Amino acid sequence: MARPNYKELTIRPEVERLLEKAHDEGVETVWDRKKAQEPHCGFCELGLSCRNCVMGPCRIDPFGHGPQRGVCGADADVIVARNFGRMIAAGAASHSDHGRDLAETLLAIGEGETADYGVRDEAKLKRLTEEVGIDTTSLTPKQMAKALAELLLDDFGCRKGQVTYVARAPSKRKELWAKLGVTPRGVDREVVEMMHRTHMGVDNEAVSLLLHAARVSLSDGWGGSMIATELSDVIFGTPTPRTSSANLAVLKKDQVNILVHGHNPIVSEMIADAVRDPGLIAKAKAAGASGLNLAGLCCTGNEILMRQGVPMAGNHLMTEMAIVTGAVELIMVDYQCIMPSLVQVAACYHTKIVSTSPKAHFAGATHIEFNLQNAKAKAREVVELAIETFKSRNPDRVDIPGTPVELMTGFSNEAVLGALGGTLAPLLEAIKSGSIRGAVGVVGCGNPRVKHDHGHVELTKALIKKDILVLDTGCAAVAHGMSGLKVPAAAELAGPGLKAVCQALGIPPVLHVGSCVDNSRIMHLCALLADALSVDISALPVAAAAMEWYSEKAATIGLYAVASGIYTVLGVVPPILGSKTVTNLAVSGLEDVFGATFAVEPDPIKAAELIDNRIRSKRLALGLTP
Amino acid sequence: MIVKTVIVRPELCVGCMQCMIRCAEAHSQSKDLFSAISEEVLAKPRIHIGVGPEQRPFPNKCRHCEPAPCLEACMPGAIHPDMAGALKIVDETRCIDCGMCSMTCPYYVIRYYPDHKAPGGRTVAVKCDGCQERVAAGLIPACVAACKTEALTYGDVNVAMNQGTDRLAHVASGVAGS
Amino acid sequence: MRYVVVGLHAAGRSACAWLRRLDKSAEIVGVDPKPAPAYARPLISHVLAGEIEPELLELKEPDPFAGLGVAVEAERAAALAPDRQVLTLESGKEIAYDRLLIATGASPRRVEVAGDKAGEIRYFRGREDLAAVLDGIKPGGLAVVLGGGLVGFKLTHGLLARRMRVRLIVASPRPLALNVDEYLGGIIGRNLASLPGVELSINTSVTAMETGQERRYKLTLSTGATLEADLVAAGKGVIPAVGWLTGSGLFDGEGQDGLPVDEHLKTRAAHVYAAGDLAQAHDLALDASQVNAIWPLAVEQGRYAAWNMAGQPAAYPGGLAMNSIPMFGSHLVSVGAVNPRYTAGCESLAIEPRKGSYLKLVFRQDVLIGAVGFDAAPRLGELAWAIRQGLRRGRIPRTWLENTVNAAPLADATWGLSRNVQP
Repeated sequence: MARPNYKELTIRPEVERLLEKAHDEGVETVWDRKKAQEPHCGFCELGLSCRNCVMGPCRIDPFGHGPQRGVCGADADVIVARNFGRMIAAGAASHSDHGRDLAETLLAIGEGETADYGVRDEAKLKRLTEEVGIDTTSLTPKQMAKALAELLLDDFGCRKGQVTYVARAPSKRKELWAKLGVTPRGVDREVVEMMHRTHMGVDNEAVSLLLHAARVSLSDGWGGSMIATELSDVIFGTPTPRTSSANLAVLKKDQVNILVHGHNPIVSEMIADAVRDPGLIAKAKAAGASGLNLAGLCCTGNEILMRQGVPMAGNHLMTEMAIVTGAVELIMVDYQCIMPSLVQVAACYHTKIVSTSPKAHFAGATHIEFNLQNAKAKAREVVELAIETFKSRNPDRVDIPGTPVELMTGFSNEAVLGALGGTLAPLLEAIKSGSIRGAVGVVGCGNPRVKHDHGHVELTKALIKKDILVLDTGCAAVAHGMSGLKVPAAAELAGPGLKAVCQALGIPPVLHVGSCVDNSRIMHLCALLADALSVDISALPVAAAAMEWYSEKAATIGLYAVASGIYTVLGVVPPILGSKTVTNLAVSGLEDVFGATFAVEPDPIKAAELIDNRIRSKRLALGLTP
Repeated sequence: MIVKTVIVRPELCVGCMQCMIRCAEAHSQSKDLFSAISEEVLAKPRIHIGVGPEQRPFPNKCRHCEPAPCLEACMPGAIHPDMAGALKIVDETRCIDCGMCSMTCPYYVIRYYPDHKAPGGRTVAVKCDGCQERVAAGLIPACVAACKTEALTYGDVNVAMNQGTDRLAHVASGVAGS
Repeated sequence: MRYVVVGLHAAGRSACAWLRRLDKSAEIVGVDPKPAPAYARPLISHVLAGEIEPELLELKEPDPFAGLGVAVEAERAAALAPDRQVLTLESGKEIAYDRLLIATGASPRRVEVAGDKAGEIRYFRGREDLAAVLDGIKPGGLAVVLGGGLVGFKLTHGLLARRMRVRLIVASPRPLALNVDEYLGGIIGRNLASLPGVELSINTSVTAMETGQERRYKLTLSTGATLEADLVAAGKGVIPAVGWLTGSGLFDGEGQDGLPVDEHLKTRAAHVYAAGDLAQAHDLALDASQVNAIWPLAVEQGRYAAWNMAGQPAAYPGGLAMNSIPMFGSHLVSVGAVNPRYTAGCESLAIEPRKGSYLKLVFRQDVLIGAVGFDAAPRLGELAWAIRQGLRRGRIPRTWLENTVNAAPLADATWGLSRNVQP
């Protein structure tokens, strides 16, 4: 039997080896399922199918042979724009609902309703509380927590006029948003309004729909996501630079391996505490293991990597591979990006999948629901289940390929400022002198339609060679880490200017700023840089790239980046090509609206060229060397 | 000799029209959906999801008859047989859009559209060519590749008939067939 | 075995190809005064209209007969002696045959007019006729077209494309009187009247054609009026080319109705068959014998004749009148019995799938016998199939009538009838 050519699927030899193992063991993976789905639905790929009502479903024929309007009369432009709008709404809803969970946690802390959670960064709590105009002189940390939480919870409603952190945007950007009528008013409101507008017979004009999509996305980037980032820092500590490691080889053959997967630190932080419990470690030893080993997957992995230095086992497309090693006792999940297939793959091994969120159940998984009152106890329960499961591990099926790769993490904005001596001035100088020509956020997911990690890694290598600093989040950050780009020694791969800066500061040329909600850190940093230069964000020599994106959340991030003035390259085509109006707007028309556009370029080297040209022109416009 | 052909089982069709869109893509210049929809002369599908009895979808395509009335009726000799594949192929450079072939086709599977292979992109008869280009490249016809329900499969028609007979026998004798 | 095929156009070529397929070792002799380069006669109207290059008239293979191993005698047949099984050519050469196919087709029906220029009326049948019409073209001038049938329309269409003005003179009360019903004839008449450069005269014929003063010809009309024109072309139908068979006993009278054939396309003489524009074969819609002088039937009859000649009996199921012609931006199709002459007492069902398009089905005692469509979906072949099947009205699904663009073909929708279709 000829085997599939796994080299075409991933750049990682470890993943290749585990794909072979999966094949031999009859385990179906994300790549198998993707193949079974091919060719994908052409109407859906183009955004030309509509299921919004049951007069349909309808499809528009892009070849002009069949219908050109849906039953309701919507043409390709309206259908594509409506579908795109709903995609953005779903992405914004996901990040923002995650942010809401943190605001509610902070409120519970403030109201004394949780013993399991507290404030680990009181200084940041005070800073944030003062930033929103609350006098903190007579407030205890608990009172500050309550006041800040209540104020930010109001961001989810509809009565504030605008979400709190819009205030952080440069004044020119705020004026532009106000002029366009896209200043986000309330996180839930914008999402609800998008669902309303895309109901049959409401908003039937592509440009109007897209402007609202921008508004929805801004309620995420400057609302829900930013709240998630800031409050996670308050509750679990603001990240500081530290070293850790990544790759599937962080799993340990002789230990009880527990993985956390999903997004929110609320649950993963509790496990991070529990695995340090001497009593539980003793139990693990009693079960025949040499200890308890915790590692992360995906974005919740990024959260505890940034704050606790917990090693990272892999990114989105490697979540099934982790189980295929045969060495994972338990994967604890919360929500987002958790493939339902994990339950099926786990069933082929001894691995337990434990779901924890009342919002996210997985048929066939063990559900151990966490709340703000029982989290610590439940975390112990999960660890005990893992220890119990270890006993049924089959050592003959264990194969942990590769070796762990060292990485440096923890570059919150506070940490960056700290490294620069408390001021942005050295960074601005480096940009002005051209030793750092610009900065790019290389972010986003993994997607089986793209060679795993190829887009992220090749783009980033090309960018740093051009003296462009890379900030990363999400699965892209994990890819860079596993490829050895996140250690100070990787400065050798950078151009001379960036290399010198990195070596002087002892930092890598690729800075880990967190999980996917932490793209808000990049927004905030851009705003600070723009203010320091008295320009709009769109004037900065910056860009964003999502070479392997797959999710609705990623689409929303891309749109809030563009709506904030950041040129954004997508490596996977969004489902909009069925409408020339929407496509033209996305790749060129938005320049006149937001001062930035999307570009679509699957080839990372060509994408680097596009970004380099953009940075060159922005630098020249600022009167700097190209 | 085994001659593979597209075998249609209408009862399995769910009407998703994937075969149509992938057929048009396969007959475009770029062979890539995203580019194909922007070509100057748009490619057209050669398989059609018709509305059949009880509003059920019916995948309708050229059956490559033998003898083929369309081929016999073609005055400029634009329709010719491909003996190896038992296909009836339209030579777009010779077709003059006279309408004679559809006048003799019992199945409503010859339509007339501008085509990029015709000189000046003029209107010609557009019908299934058995995806001969794809098949020559070792691929299966685009409509079959697109079909998720096995309403369209690619195989030897005699084998398919035997399977059909087996199914019928199972049904007739009350045995659950596969 | 020696097969002789007289006439090497649609029917003759088809017969040669099938004879060779059925009998690899047979001797096949083809007789035609101008066999090469082989071409498709009906395409001349597309050349006249400038829609295709003249090269496209000719078949891909200029001499298909060499490839088929057909020995060609490039001259005209002069006489047939069925009792001796001998064909005589104009040169006097005699060819003995085992089986013979008569496929000499038809010639344009001549227009009887008086006057010194009566001989200069141009007809429109083959490439010599095309050359003559093209030769007479005078851009900006006036052409008179005689005959409101399909050829008259093709001439009008082509001459307009050649930038001539056209006066269409029709003897009947409306154009296409033999091809379409009154309703459609009315629409076409109105479309024609509103077309720039065309003038229609109905219930009119030409009585004389003489030298003109300002233009080349002066015509006198049956109304008494006179008219000057630069070109006069006629399409008044065709008559079977059976003159050379006079005295053979194969037909009655002048042979205007063609050569009668049986269900195996055999003529009255043993071993002699006929196919194409002169064969008076069974017509399915009319349930009678008549000549249907159209290309696809000529090809089909050539095939059936070949089967029967080669000793593989194949009953010819019968033909149908079928036409598909462009009509000044619109498209007219008809099949089976639609001529009002034949459809008296029939029921019909007319639908208008969308504004301006028209599809009418004609039933005799509940059985489909004809259909005519105007700017309708290209489903004529399907209807021809249905007529051949003797499809009953009740078997036509409502879906088909209500959704003529997207409905599944009748061959499939009417499941019980869809097996073993012999097209």
